[in-house]
Amino acid sequence: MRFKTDIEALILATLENGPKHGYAIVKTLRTQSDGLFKLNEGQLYPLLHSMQEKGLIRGEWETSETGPARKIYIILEAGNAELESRRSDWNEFAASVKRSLFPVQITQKGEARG
Amino acid sequence: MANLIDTYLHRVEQRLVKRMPRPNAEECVREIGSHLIEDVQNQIESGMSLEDAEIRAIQNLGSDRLIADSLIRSHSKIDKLSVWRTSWVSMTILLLYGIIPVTFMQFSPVPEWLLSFVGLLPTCFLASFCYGIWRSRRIVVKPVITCVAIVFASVIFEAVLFSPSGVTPMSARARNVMVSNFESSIASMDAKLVAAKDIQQDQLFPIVFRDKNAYLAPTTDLGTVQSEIAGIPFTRSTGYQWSTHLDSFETEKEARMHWKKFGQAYIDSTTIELNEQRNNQEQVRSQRLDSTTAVGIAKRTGLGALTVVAFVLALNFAVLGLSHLIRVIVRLKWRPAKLAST
Repeated sequence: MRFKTDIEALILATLENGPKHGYAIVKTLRTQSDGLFKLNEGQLYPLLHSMQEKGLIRGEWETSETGPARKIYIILEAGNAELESRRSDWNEFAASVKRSLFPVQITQKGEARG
Repeated sequence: MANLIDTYLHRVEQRLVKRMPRPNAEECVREIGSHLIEDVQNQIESGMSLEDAEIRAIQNLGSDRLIADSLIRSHSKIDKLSVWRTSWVSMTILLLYGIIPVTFMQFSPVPEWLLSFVGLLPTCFLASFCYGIWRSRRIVVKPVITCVAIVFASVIFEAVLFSPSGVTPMSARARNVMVSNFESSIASMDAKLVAAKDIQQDQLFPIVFRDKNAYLAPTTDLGTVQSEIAGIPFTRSTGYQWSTHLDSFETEKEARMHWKKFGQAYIDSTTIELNEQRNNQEQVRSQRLDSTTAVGIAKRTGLGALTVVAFVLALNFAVLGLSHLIRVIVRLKWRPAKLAST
């Protein structure tokens, strides 16, 4: 399965809420996961460039009056489709793991409902 | 300390421009620069000093060498290429090394240049394979197995269709050529043996041991013994042994001295070689591929093929391990504070 290190899906999900630059992506991921996802920042830009090559995201330089110019990334249609596909894969995977890890509880709940 | 980030970015840029177009390198550096500035501002807002914030921001990105390496790899797309594309040079060399000996070398006298070329192939293979693995950081399994399988098939194919022990008219022709080669070789060795015995009895220096104005006489030296690995065209050194061979001398006196010293050794080794040649000739004349021989060839070739696959995969893992180890060492040894001293 591709969930072991599926940073790409996490980046796409971060960009779904609006364009962000590299540092903001790292910060959002860290905040959203309560510090669990410690993204290797050195690997971020090669990954973003590769996602850009694949046509999942687009990079654009944004000038600012207060600070230096920053490259922001915008999710593209292909990126949205890819994110949906990975979400669906993840749901399937997570459900399978849950069924395997908690077989008794799930059966008991089923019986209780029956 | 104020220019710590500039030094870091300069170092990254220096590495990038070596392997990617300057505009791309500059864009990468600008992007990393803006990332660092954002990070520093954020750290300062949370109460850190400028110096500490710069060090922390650089530390978060990691060694300039590693980040530049990752960007170069991403830009060159080497890690996205198929293993066939990343290993085609070394696999072609492996194929040539396996196939040339079982094709060209069986039929006619082999030109010197071809022998030298084949001799260079193992070194070329090692160099290109290790370089390919180092660059791509991939495990090359399918191409290696495919190449070795092709070599395996050619050895079997050659044994059945073209080798002197095969069963086709082409095999019969190869057999006749080999038998006649043996005949001329045996005749030449016979003549040399007679002449060697004449020299031992102080008779005239025979013409077979003359080379233009030089006189040929035996000398001995210690050489390596090469043996074939399980029936496939790869050899390995299995030890050392004294061997006798002819050398050129300017004067007859000098040559005769060598004949006195090493003449008997030359006669003995030539007699052994002559008997071997006679046995081989007899074998070639009578040998035909039966099921036992075919199974034997298949077993030896199969074992050799497995040995090669195991060796190449071990080499693959060794190079990957070394590359990983170097990156770990760089990561552990690298300190942002060191940038200040440069």
